[in-house]
Amino acid sequence: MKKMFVVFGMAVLMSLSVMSGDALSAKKDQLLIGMPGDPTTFDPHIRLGLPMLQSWPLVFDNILARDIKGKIIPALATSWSYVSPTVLELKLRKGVKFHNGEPVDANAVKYSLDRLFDKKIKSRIRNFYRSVKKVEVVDSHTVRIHTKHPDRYLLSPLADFSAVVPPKHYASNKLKHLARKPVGSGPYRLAKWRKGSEMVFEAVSGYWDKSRQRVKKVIVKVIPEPTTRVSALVSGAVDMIKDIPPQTVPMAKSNPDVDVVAGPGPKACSLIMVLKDGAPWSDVRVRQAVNYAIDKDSIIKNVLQGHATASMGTVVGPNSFGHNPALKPYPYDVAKAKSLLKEAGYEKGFTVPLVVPLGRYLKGVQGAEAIAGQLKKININVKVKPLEYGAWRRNSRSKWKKGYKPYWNYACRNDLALHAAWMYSGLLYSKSTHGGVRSEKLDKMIVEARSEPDEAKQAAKYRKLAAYIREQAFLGFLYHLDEISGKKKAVDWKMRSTGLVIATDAGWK
Amino acid sequence: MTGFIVRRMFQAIVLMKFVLIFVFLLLHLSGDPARIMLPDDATEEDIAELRNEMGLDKPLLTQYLIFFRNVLRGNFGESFEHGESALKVVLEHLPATIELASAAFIMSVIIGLPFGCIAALKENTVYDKGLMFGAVLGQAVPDFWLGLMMILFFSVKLGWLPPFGYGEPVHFIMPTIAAGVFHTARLARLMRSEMLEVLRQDYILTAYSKGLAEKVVLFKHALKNSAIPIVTILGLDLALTLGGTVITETVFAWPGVGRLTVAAIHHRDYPIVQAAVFLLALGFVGINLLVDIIYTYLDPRIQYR
Amino acid sequence: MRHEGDEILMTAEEFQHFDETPWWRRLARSLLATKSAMAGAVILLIVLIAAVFAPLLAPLDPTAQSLTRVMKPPMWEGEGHIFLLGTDHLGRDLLSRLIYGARVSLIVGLSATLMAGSIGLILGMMAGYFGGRVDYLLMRLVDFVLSFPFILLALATIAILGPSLWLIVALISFRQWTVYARVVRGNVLSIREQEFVIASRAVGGSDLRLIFRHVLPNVLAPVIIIGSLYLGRLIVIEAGLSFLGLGVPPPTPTWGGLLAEGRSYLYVSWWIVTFPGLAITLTVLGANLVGDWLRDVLDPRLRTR
Repeated sequence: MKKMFVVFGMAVLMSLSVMSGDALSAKKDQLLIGMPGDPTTFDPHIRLGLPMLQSWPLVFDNILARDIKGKIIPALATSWSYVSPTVLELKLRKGVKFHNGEPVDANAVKYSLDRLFDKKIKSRIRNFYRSVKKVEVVDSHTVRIHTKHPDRYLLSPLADFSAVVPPKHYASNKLKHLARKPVGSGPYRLAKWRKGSEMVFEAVSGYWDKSRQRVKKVIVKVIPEPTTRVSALVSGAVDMIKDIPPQTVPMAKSNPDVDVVAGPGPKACSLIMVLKDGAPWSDVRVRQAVNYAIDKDSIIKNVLQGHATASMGTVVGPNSFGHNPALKPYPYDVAKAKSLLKEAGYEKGFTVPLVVPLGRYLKGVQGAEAIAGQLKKININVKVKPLEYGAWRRNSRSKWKKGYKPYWNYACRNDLALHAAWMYSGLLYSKSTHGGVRSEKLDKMIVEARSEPDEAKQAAKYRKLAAYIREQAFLGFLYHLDEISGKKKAVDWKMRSTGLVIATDAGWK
Repeated sequence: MTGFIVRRMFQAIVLMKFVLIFVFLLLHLSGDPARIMLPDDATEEDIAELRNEMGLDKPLLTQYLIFFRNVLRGNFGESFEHGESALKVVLEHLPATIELASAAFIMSVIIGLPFGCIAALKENTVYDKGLMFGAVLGQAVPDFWLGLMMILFFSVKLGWLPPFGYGEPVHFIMPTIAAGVFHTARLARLMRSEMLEVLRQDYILTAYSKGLAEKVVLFKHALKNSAIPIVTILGLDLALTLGGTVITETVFAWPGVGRLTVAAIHHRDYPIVQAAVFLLALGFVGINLLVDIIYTYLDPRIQYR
Repeated sequence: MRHEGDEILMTAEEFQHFDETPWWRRLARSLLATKSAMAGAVILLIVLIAAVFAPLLAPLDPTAQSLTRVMKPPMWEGEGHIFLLGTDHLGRDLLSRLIYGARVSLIVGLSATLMAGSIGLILGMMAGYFGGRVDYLLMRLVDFVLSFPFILLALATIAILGPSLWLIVALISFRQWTVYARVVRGNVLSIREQEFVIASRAVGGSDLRLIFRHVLPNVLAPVIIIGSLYLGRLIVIEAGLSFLGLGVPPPTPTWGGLLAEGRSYLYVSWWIVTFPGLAITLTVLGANLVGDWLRDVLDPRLRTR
C-alpha cells in the first residue's frame, strides 16, 4: 500500500513540473486575450453578436470604421458624402488586396452589400440596411448607395458591420466552408480556430494600416466563467481580459502588475413598463413617481460597486449621436413620488411583476431586486420574476396579446451603433420586440428624426425627442453600465467607447 | 453466450430508437420551435418561412420520419448559430469531453478502489474512519465550488497550475479532480462495503484459518469476488461521468460538448442540443453493452436472460 | 443489461429478525448507542427544525434588503452590527437566508426523494413480482431514463418551461427513481421465491394482499436507506443547476443558489460562500452518517450507493 502512495505522489509532482513555462512567457510579439465567448460563425454577413464584432475586424475591413471615441473614420472608403439626401457616395482606397489576391474594388463592395440580401444567406444583419434600395458601381473605386428615404443612420452599420469580402471566393465556396475559413482584407488572418476554446490570428504582410498590426500574433482564449477569467489574468496566463464583474475587481487588483480599465460603456439599463390600457402606469404621474422613487446612486454604489453612471433620463449615452446633454436625471425624491401617486389615485399602490432575464445582464436580477426593495417605500409591490432568456423573450413577444397582463421588464440595451435611432427603435418604437410603448406621436417623431437628411437638424430632432421621452417618463431610467476590462501593466490599450475589445487596439508598451 | 450478446445489442438498438423519439419531441415541448429559434427582430414572415423550411407545417409523424431518416444519414440539421452541420460541431467538441470523463474515471479507479480496500482491511481504525469521512466530504462538495476554490488557491495564490486551458497534460489536473471527486468518493465507499462483505464470507475465513498469507487471500479471493458488482458500477459511472462534466467544463473553460450544449440551450440552437444528447446517450448505451460483455467473461455462470 | 440492484439479494433469515421487537424501539436503542449516527441525527434534526420553524427562527426577513449595509462581515469580526453571519451583496441577513434556504433545499431534497422513492418502489415491486414482460419493459425503461445526460436534459427542459422549484423536483425524481426501482426489484425477486410466499400463493392469496403483507415490508428498508444516502446529493445537484443559471429562481434562497450566486464574491467576502457551503456539507454528512447506520442496522448486506 505504501508503494501506491509513493507512486501517486510522484505522478502529482511530475505533472506539476510539466506546467510552469508557458504561462509566464509573454513574448512581445504575441498577445493573449481572454474573452467571454467566441463567434459561432466567421461569415460576416449572417448574424451579429459581441464576439463577432470583436473578432471580425481582425480579418475583415469594414467600409468605414470608428476611432477609439466612436467617431466615424475612413477605412476601405477614404471619403464619403451625400450627393443627394438619398445617395451616399463612397470613394474607395486604392491598391488594397484581399488575402487571396483578389482586388478590393467597387465590385467587391457591391457584392458584399448585396450578399446581405441574398435569400440563401438568411442574413439577420440586413435589417440594419433596410433603407437600401440599390448599390451602384460608378467606377472601379467609387460606389453609390441609394436609399429609399434619407438615412444618415446608415453610416453606423457601415462603420461597424460592413465587412467586405472577395467576390470570387465567396461566390464559389460553400457557406459551411466560409463559416469556418474567412478570407478578408484585414490586418490578420485566422490561422487556427478551435471552436469554443481558442482563436489564433497571424498578421498579414503589406497591410495598409501598420498601426493596426501591433503584434505578430493574437491568441484569443475563450473563458466564459468570470471568476476563472479574472484568475487567468491575475495568474498571468493571459495578457488581457474583457468583462470583469465589479465584485471581482479587488481580486484583479490583487496582482500589482495588473491594471483594471473601467469606463462608461454603451449599455443602458432601463425599466420597461408595458403601457397597456388599464395599467396604473398608463398615467404619466405614476411613471414619474416610479422614476423619483428609484435611488439609482444607491444601486450603483452597492449593487454595481460604483461601476455605472446614473441615467440622465435618457437611454442615449454621451458618446452616441443624438445625445441630449441638457437633460438631468430624475432625482431621488420619495416625498415627491408619494404625492404624484396620490394625485393619480394610487396612494395605496399596486402590485406588478418585473421580469428579468437570468444571467444576461450584469447583476440584472440583483438590480431588479434592489428596485423592488426601493419601490416598496411608495407602496408599489414589485414581484421580481427572473426568467430564462428564451422565456423572457417569449414574454416580450406576447405582451400585446389581448388579456396578457401588463408587466415590467428589466432590460439593458447595448448601443452598438452609438446612435439614438438604434436605441429608440429597440426600446420605444411601437414595433420593437422589447419595447413597451405604442404611441403614434412617439413613432412619428422617431421616424421623422431618422429620415432627416441634415446632420445638425437631425441632432436637434433627437435632442427634442429625448426631452419628450424623459418628461413623459416612458421608461424607468436606471443607469449606463461601465465596461470593465483588465490588462497587464505592460500592455498598451485604451477602451473604446463602444465597449468592444478589438485586439488591433492593443500592443506592448 | 453470443445469443446473449446479440439480444443485448438488439435491445440497445431499440433503446436508441426511443431516445431518438424523445430527442425529437424535446424540440416540440414548448409549442412552436420556429418562434423560439428566431431572434427578437424576426418578422411573422421570417417565422413562416422558417416553419416551412424546417417542415414544421407538416404532420408530427411525417416530421419524425424525416428526422429519423436524416439521423440515419448522420444529419441532425444545420446549427443555427454555427451555420454548419450540427453533428460536425458536436463531434468536434466530443473528444475533449471524452478525455475529461476518462481522466475523472481513471482517477476514481486508481484512488477510489485502493482507498476503499485499505478502509475495509483496516475496518474501524483511524485510517478507515479518516478515509470514509473524506469520502463523505467528497460526495458533499459541489463540483463548481471545488473547482473555483482550486483555481483561487493553486492558480491565483500559489501560481502552480494554469487556471484554464486545454491541450497539455497539466491542464488536466484541476478539471479531473473537480469532475472526479464525487465518483472517487462513491467508489471508495462502495469498494469498502463490497470488500467487507467478501471478507466476512466463510471461505475467506477458512483461508485465514488455514494460515495462508494474508495478501494471497486478499488478492486471490476477495478482489476477484468483489470485481463483478464493481465492474457494473464502474460501467455505469463511466457512462454517467460522460454526461456529467458540464459544470467542470464551464468552470475551467474546457472546450467540451457539455459547455457547447449549454450555450446551444441558451441560444435555442436545437440541432446541436439534439445531436449532443443523442451522442451522449449512444455513448452510455455503448459502454453498458461493453460492460455486459465483460460481465459474461468475468462470470460465466451468469444467467443470460 | 444487468443492474446494480441485481446483486442485492436477501434471504428470509435476514428478514425474520424484523418481526421480533417493534422496529422503532430497536432503532432508537441502536441510535443512542451509535455516536456517529447520533451526531448525524442531531445535524439533520437541527436542519429540519430550521426548515420547519424558519419564520420563527430567522432573525430578519430573508428577502429584506438594505443597500446601506451590504456585505457586512460576520458579527465576530467586530463591526458592531446585528448580523450574526454577515450580510450579502444586497444587505440581506445571511443567517436568515440560510435558515430559509434550509427550507427550500430540504423541500427539494425530501420531495424529490419521496417522489422518486415511491415511484421506484411501486415500479420496482411490479417488475420483481410480476416478472416476465412487465419486468422486461420496466427495466428497459430504466435503461432509457439512465441513458440521457441528466444535467443537459434538465437544463434543456428548464430552459423551455422556465425554472421553478417543482419542475426541478420533478426532473430530479424522473432520474432518481431508477436507483430505487433496481434495488427493490432485486429484493422482490428473491422474496418471491421464498416458501411462505409460494405457499400463500398456492392457497390462493391475491396478488395485492401478498404484496402488502409480505413484499412491501421487506423492501421498505432498502428504500429508506438509499433515500437517506442520496438526500444530500440532491441538494448538491440543485446547487449545480443554480451554478448553470437554471436552479430554483431567486429571490427564493436555496443553499445551492446562495453558493452559486456568491461564488464571484469569493475573494472579497468569504462568508457569502463559506456558510452555505458549510450548510450543504454538514447536511450531506449528517444524512450519510444516519444512512450508514440505518444500513448497518436494517440491512447489513445492502451496499452504499
